[in-house]
Amino acid sequence: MRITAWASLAALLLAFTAGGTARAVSSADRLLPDDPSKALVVEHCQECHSVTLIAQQRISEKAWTAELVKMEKWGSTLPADSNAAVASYLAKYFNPDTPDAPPRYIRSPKQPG
Amino acid sequence: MSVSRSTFLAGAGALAGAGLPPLAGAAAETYNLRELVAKPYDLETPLQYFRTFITPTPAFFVRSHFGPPVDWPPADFALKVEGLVQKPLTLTLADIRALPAYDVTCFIQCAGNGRAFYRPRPAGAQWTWGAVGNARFTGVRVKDVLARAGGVQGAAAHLGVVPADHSPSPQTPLFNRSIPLSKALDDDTILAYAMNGEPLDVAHGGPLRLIVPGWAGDNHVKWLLSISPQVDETHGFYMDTAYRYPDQLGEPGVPVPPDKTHHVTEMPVKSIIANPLDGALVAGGPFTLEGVAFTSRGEIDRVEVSADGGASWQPATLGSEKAKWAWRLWQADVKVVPGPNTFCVRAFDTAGGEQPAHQQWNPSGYFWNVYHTVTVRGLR
Repeated sequence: MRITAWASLAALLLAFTAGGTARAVSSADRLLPDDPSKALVVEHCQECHSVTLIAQQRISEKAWTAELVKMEKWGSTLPADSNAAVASYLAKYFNPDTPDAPPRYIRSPKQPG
Repeated sequence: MSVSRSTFLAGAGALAGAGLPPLAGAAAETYNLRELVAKPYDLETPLQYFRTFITPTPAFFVRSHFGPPVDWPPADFALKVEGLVQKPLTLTLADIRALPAYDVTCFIQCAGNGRAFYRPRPAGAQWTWGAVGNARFTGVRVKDVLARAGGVQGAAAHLGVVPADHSPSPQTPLFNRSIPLSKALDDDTILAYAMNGEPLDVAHGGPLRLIVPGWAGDNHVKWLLSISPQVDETHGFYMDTAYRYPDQLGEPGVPVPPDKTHHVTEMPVKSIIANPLDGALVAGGPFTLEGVAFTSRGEIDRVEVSADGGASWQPATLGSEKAKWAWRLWQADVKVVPGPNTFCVRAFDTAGGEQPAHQQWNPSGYFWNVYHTVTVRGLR
């Protein structure tokens, strides 16, 4: 627990520090572990929603598959023959046993966009 | 605002202990909200902002399915009133503001507030406690708008509501909704153009949003384009599949067919501890617990707190500020002892509702109202 707390603080400080550097870390780079399927998620999911929505889920591979099937019906450009690989990738890193990521905060009011 | 030592410690302890944000931004009107989803746009209110009767607009949670519409609102914005009315018409904001104005102070809570606490985790935005707020909305009664259109034709039983937001993909279902006409015609159901005395901002649904006091947030449709009395409910994903609750709760993890579910409308009684924050370091000695309590059914009857993790309970004092659909503030004096202290709160409403210690799972993770528990470390 104590380690988690310090890790959270470190992440928070890192976030502030990173914000002051020239290189902005995209939420995809920050949240999606490297994997052959990562590029598919980066390319095909962000038109409609940010990867933060993906990375906060803690669901099974079966539930990920159901989400991808739903997204296919909703117009996702992800090739259907990639569904199995992407569901496996997402379930590997965002499953019911994955610890929650530290929350992120923005200063409000902020105009969306 | 003065900051007591205990509050300061609570904030500082939370920052170090749980990755929570500083209490507020440097400028008076800025607040740090938890960004759940940047796109579409979902922001959760951190608990330290639940210590006022009115939630300031910039601190009020934001929920959207597709994000605010692009280039919104258009310069020629107008609301269409169509369907089963005697005289379909189009109303500009000036037309709407010319109708009698009504204030409704109400809490709005996303049905999925607390989804993150269910096991197994339902898919969806992982709200914890902060998808709720209490605000004063100003607008016109839906019944007055329909009367302006000559009244409703006899066959109508529902009010269709069409918003402007949509997904970039044309195949994604629209957030077209309806509510029963009986609720739409309630004196307190309004089309709001102002929030907390200011023109309704885009993030919270401006220029015009439906306010359905007491009902779950999905009914308070934002970015309105049209309202239309109609014979049947609107159909589509967001009516027939989403925002539905099982008629009978079943085994965790097992889906429930839509025909065995009903719309989410009224929400069960709930209370939240806003001070201290979970994980905070708190000076030992007397401490005043603070928070909010709300219900869709009747009104808050009483609030109780526990200083021993739920073994024994003592009454809290309800705040004097009241409104029919609003939340109540509460406070309770306790003693913080050195070491771990576990505080709980539970509320009871006049309809007989009370908060449970455990809650049965439902597929979409709606209506979490297990009593809130925080553990803090008392300093000598």
